[in-house]
Amino acid sequence: MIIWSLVVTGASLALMPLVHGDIHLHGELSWKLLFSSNGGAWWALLGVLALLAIGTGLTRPPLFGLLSNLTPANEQGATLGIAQGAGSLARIVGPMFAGPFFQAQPSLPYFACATIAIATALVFMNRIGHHTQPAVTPNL
Amino acid sequence: MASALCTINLILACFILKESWTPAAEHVPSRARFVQWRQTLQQPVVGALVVIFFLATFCFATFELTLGLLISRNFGLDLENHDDLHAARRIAGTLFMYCGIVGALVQGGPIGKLVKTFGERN
Repeated sequence: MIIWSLVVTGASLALMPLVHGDIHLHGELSWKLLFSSNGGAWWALLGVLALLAIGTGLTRPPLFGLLSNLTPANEQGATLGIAQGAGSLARIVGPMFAGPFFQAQPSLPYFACATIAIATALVFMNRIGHHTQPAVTPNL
Repeated sequence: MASALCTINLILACFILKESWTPAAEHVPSRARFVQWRQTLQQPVVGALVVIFFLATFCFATFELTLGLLISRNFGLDLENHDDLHAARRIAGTLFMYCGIVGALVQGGPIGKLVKTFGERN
């Protein structure tokens, strides 16, 4: 599940910079535009974004579920704290990386992150593959 | 708005969630910060999960930062132009709201079933 969510995330990140449109030609995003013949580019964008939202939405819950299941009860606070800390760290370094890369070439951060997501999926496939998720997913 | 939601969340958590700590629970050895990091990351699966979470969040943060800029560029908006800048803000806001709604639907809806069906074998 975690691995699949990373693959979906990676695929949608790779597609994102490929969606092009012309706002002056087609008009701004609106309900009316979406249901007209000019809505194509926006539909594509919304589709890719939906894929991305699904991918990222499917990463967290099973990941934290597995994390807390693999940790003894008295260590859970520490482990989840470390995980959240890693997430915060990523929120700091992500933009630091994204800015310069975007300036160099706007699609670069997207392709780089797509590669990271898919590579992560491939590398960790075996490592977490053997662990089965119990029926109850903690609500995190 | 966001802070109000957080406050409500905190208050609800206080009343609804049960205390998970029991007096019988073994005491946690307290460790220095970096020792704790090493200790957590050294466990094969737990460490891998933390690394995955880091990378996934990294990708998401990158996307969050650049989406508005990318859309402006790919849809021919000139951010130096006042009207275009406003349009770009509106669009980016709408798109993030859309992402949030889709994400909430996914997390609130099918995920439990999906996890049960696919487990963590994948």
